[in-house]
Amino acid sequence: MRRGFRPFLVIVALGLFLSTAIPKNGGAEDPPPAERHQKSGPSSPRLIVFLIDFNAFLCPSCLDSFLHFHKKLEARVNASQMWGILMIDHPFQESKKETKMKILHKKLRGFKKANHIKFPILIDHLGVFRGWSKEGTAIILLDGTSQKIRKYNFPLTPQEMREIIDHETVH
Amino acid sequence: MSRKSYAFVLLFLTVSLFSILFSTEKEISRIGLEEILSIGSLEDDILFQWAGVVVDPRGNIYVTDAMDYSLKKFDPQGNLLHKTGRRGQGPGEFMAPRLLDCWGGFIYVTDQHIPGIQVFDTDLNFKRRITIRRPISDFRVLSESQIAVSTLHMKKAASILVFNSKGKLVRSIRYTQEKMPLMMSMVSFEFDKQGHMYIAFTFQDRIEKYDQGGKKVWSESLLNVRKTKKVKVSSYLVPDKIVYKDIALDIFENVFVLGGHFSKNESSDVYVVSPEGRYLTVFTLPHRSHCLYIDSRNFLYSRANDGVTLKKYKMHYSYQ
Repeated sequence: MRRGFRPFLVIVALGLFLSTAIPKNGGAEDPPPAERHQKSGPSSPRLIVFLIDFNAFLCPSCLDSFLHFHKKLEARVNASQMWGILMIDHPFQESKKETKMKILHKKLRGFKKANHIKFPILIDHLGVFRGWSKEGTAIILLDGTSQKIRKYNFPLTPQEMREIIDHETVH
Repeated sequence: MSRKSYAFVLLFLTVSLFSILFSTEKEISRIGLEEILSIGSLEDDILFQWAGVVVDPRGNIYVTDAMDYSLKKFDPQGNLLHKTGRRGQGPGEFMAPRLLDCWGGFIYVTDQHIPGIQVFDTDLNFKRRITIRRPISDFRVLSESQIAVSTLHMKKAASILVFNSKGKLVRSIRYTQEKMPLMMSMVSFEFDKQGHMYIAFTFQDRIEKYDQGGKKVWSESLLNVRKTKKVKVSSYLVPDKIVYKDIALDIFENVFVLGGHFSKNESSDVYVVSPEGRYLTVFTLPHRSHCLYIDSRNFLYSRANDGVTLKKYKMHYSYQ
């Protein structure tokens, strides 16, 4: 775990973010309500959250690592356990907010389609994760069973990749 | 030929010369833009984040899209005709497609993460790859056998490098005499029909013209930028503010330079300089853009909506 990382704040932030973002975003990024109910039940106490920063993907090894890892994880983990959050480093001007959100939704559609990503990605329009993008794209594991949270930054080392995948499939 | 005929020819030539001189005396005082085409709306899935644009002699528009790793061709009305590419490093694949140029019925495409240039025909069929083992920050295809490239220079004076179609360096045009700190010699450039080279420094307030022999004709500063702030990236100090983003020539060979962070309207102000190096005017694009392109019919192309929209404008000139 990285120094300065506060699990409690993360749980609160993620809880707040997901509880506000999921019902509001009835668009293409969300699974249908019935599916959502199944996926968030007590039988899936683990959640994998990708914190995505488009700027970080200018580094090809970061994007490679993310896509490679996503492919591996997809083959082993229930897709409903995976979520993504697109981080935004600057707050939107109120007058441009609607346009900016439309642009980001469009870019996300292109990104997901071109990279075969199926899990939902929410846009952090509230700025909950603002500032986190300094560290680039990351993955957060929330494990309700062991009550542990872990965070890894891309590009992942082979050791980290093994660690995450083992953790997600051993239990 | 009789004396009268000689006198007539002489008179004709004199009048022609004066009319040419008179017409070149007229200088642009203002440029207005009229939008005539917009490709990619906020709702459709046509462009996700376009990076480079080029237009062929028939008016077809070719665009690289960095978000879906593709090269796209549009007809002059903006209808998508072809799309090619996917993520990868094989023939016709892209990691980060960027700059484009068009010459002799072929489209030349660079990739930020793959060295060299890929060549496609106008139906976007991959034809070949030109191996150039240097990062390309800008390029122009001068002929079938000459490709001019600007690159990063770390240990020596900076030059525009000219490669042949097999990627062999055939000549270089030096534009700095001294070694400069990392990225400070980065330029975008253009050639006019006579072979003069115009360069705009990315991180310096310098726009320059060179003759066919590589001799500097003039050098201009428009923004009064003395020094640019540098930030540390890894172990390197690099500038973090752009002075000039791109350069283009109109059909009259006036020089259009897109300003960056130091402009009054960041990434939107376009400075116009005559071929002789006189500042003429400035106009502002309706949207921020990362690049500027003027086609052979004098239409101007720029970016809107953070790269999901491409705009085409007709330019209206007012003269003094």
